[in-house]
Amino acid sequence: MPIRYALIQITAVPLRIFPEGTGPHVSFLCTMAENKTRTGPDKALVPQFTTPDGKPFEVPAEGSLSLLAMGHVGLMAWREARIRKAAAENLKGKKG
Amino acid sequence: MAGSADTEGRSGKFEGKEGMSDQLKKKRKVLLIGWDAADWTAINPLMDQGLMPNLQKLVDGGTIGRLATLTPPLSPMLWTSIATGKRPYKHGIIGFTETGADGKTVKPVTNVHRRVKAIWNILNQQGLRSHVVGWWPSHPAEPINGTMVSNFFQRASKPIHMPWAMREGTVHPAEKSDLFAKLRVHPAELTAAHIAPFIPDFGKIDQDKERTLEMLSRILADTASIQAAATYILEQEEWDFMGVYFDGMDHFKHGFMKYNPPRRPFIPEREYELYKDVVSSAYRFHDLMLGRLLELAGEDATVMLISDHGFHPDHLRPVSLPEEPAGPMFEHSPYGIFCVKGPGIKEDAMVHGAGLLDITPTLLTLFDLPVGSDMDGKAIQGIYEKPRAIELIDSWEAVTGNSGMHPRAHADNAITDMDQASLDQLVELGYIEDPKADPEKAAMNTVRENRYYLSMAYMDGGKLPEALKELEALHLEAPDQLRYGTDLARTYLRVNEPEKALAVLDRLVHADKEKFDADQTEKAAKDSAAPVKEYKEPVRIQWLRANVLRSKGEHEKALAILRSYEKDPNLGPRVQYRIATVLIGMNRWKQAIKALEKTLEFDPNSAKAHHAMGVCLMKTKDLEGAIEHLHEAVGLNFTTAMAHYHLGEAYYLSGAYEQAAQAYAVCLHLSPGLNRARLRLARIHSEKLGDPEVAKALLDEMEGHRKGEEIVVVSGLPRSGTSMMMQALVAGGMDPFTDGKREQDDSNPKGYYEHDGIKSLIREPGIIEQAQGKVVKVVAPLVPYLLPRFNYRLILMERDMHEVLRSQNTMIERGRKSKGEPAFRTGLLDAYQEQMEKLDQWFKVNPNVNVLRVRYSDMVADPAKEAQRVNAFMGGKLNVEALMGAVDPKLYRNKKATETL
Repeated sequence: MPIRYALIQITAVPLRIFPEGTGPHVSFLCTMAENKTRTGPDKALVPQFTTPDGKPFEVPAEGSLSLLAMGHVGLMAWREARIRKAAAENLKGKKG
Repeated sequence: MAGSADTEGRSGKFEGKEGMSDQLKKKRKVLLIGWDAADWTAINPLMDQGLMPNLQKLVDGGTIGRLATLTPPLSPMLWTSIATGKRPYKHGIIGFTETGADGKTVKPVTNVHRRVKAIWNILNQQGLRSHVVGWWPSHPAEPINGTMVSNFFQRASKPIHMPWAMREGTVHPAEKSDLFAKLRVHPAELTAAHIAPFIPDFGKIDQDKERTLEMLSRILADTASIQAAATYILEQEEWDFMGVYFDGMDHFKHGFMKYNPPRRPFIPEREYELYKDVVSSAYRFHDLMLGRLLELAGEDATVMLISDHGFHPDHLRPVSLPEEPAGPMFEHSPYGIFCVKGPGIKEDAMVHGAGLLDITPTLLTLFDLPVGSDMDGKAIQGIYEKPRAIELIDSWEAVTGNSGMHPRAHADNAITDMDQASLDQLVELGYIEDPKADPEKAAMNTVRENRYYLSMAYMDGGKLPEALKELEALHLEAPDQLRYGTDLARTYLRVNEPEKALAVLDRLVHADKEKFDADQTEKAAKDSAAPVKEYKEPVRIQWLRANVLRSKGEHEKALAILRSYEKDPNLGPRVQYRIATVLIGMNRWKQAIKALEKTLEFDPNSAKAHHAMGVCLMKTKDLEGAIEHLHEAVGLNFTTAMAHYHLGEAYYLSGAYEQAAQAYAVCLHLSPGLNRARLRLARIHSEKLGDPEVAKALLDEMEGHRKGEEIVVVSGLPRSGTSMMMQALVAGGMDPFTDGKREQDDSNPKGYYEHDGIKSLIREPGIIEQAQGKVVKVVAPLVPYLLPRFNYRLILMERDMHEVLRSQNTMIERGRKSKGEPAFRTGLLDAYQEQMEKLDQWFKVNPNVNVLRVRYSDMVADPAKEAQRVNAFMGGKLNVEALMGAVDPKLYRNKKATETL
């Protein structure tokens, strides 16, 4: 059931969010730098992230600790990525 | 308090922003970050491995140190002391919970009972803009010139599919509530990407059996919410001061520190492997957050990172916690972290001797504002590249203008879902009992617990009469509560009342044994084959009993108790230091050294063990070893003034006078009232370093460092007329310091006017503090042990030495049942004479002691004349007739002329 959470629509996730078996070993350090903002399609300013070696960083829908550590901008970017992913999956579902 | 005491006109200067100078308007920006329970012992290895690069940057570019915590180390009390510079009995925040106005509900502690201004209130009155996020306690948010997000902000009280309302009063200004509500992270939003860095094998956890993932998700979500709110403010708002507090580290540690490497034998291998990375990952996550905060604060800001206490990361953490409220505080270690970087702050430097109470005074100096004289801390001056004068103001509480503080209000009674969520977490962490089980009993317990914490704060602040009052009442109300009783006994010991301490311990044992016997009877009724156990006194009572015995000089009995724990695998290493302190009291230096070697084998970083070892080695003439251990002691804990004092002594004995002078100077810096060190330093400057002017300046300084009321001392050799002079002074109107234990007898038909505690002056010199404003009898050999921080008026009774010995002999013979053997040793005459000569020398170098010599024979021969002299010496405040009337010439019974030795 879709619910209203903060700014965005997300699918409700129960607290039991972890799959059975051994989970992925995620590298701790995925440091990013918020170096500039770009204007999104809705004219809003969207933070853009790069990896330490300067390459563009695509915000993953599953999020990361580094995004949480970035605080406000990281949180918003992560939630936006979740919306994008959910929208893409909805679209795929409709086409399918 | 350091700095100028000139406060004239200050309250006018600092009344509200209208009075703000141009200089004040371009104040620096200060970002204060709190990491609850962060500890250098855990951080240093991580920084060494390059895993905390942002903190490393802060450390390299700034000044670091350790912050001494307060007792009890409970976070709401500590963070309020940090924000106010005042101890809990002044600021009014006591404990984790409070009762509603009806006295029947238990609620998480709020700020409505805070009686004094926090740093943001003071800055508010100066027209400066402050923001505060998550401070514990800060609910309801105060209407300051800036944004305040209270500590009720982050906690998710409902599952994610239910509305997550924000409690009224969480955000100031209230119109920003909706905006901040969106910055909260719900635990259920988190994914494997967030959890795996903490618990890589999280998939192995059965969530029906273990709640660790839920706990970790909640801590992480709370922490991320605080970071989101803080970064939003830094991105969007103008600011002069920003305070942000993260409680996550403390919660990560209480939940997972037991799994931190190295694995201890009682931790199962599976759990160890699953959770061993949690604490180090928590530090790394905090470092990532720090990086973002530093970036947003900018290079021109001053950033201060602190923690309220440490947390044992190693084998020193307790094996088990006592089953009592606030039991988890036993996992805390006594030093938090301190690190500050910014314009004008020393780079790559260290400060020593800082404490939680010093933070607000230091923040005030960063803003060029005066420090309140009523604050219990001092500004940390060592952080500045250029020394700066510290200005003082009587009290910020008297300064008028809008501070943004709440008017004092009653907490309401209703328990909201958010309250319940906060209470549940405190229950889960083990800090409080679950109030849901019996709300009224819980409310009663809350009041009682808070009184207990208040008594601990009194003890910590040296307010022993206030502590005794609370503890005596608590012990009466709950005689079976070990904590109340043992702290009461400990306080009795501190005021030199060992008999009362013993009585309390006996009562505690009686109550404890009754409880034990009742349990045994109940078990036997259920199962007649159940083995019968024998009652054993709890360890903490036994060890305290040993302390009492030690203070009474019953060393062998104390040792017997402590030695019985030597073979216990857990307590054996921990009891060695206590054994050493008893042995030191017996002057058994070599045995004490052996016990201290065992202590240091268990805990090589025990500053107090190194200190004691240094003293023991000095006594056994191993000066090189003593200096080495004393250096180690001050390196580990720079704040113990006496360790520097002993280091000075060791250097002096080894002829290294420059180093000795340096050590005494540091000792004085840490403890300016320690006139004993000042005297020794003056002596080195005058006799060894050829600096008589420095010596004179030091002696002149002594007056300014004297405390309290003057103490009148009557001294002399035993049987030199000291009791007579005591009687005379009391008759003349003085209040005696006596316990009335030694009753009159044939040798002293009018009584002795003595106090048992004075006999232990060498071991417990603090007893003299209680004699302020009174007259006290101190026999001549103990006079050099009078604390130099007081002023003394000393009447020295002089009597012909042969008469003294004859009188002593007569007195001993009176008390002896069988006659025949000589009553006094040969050579005593020489020893007494030498003692009095030493005393003469001591008087010369102790300008705080004003001496009047009174000859016993003159007093008896012409009481009127001597009474006039004594009265003049006492400032003419005595009743001379009564004074002279107390002299009874008939008691002059051992005249030299009539008897020979």
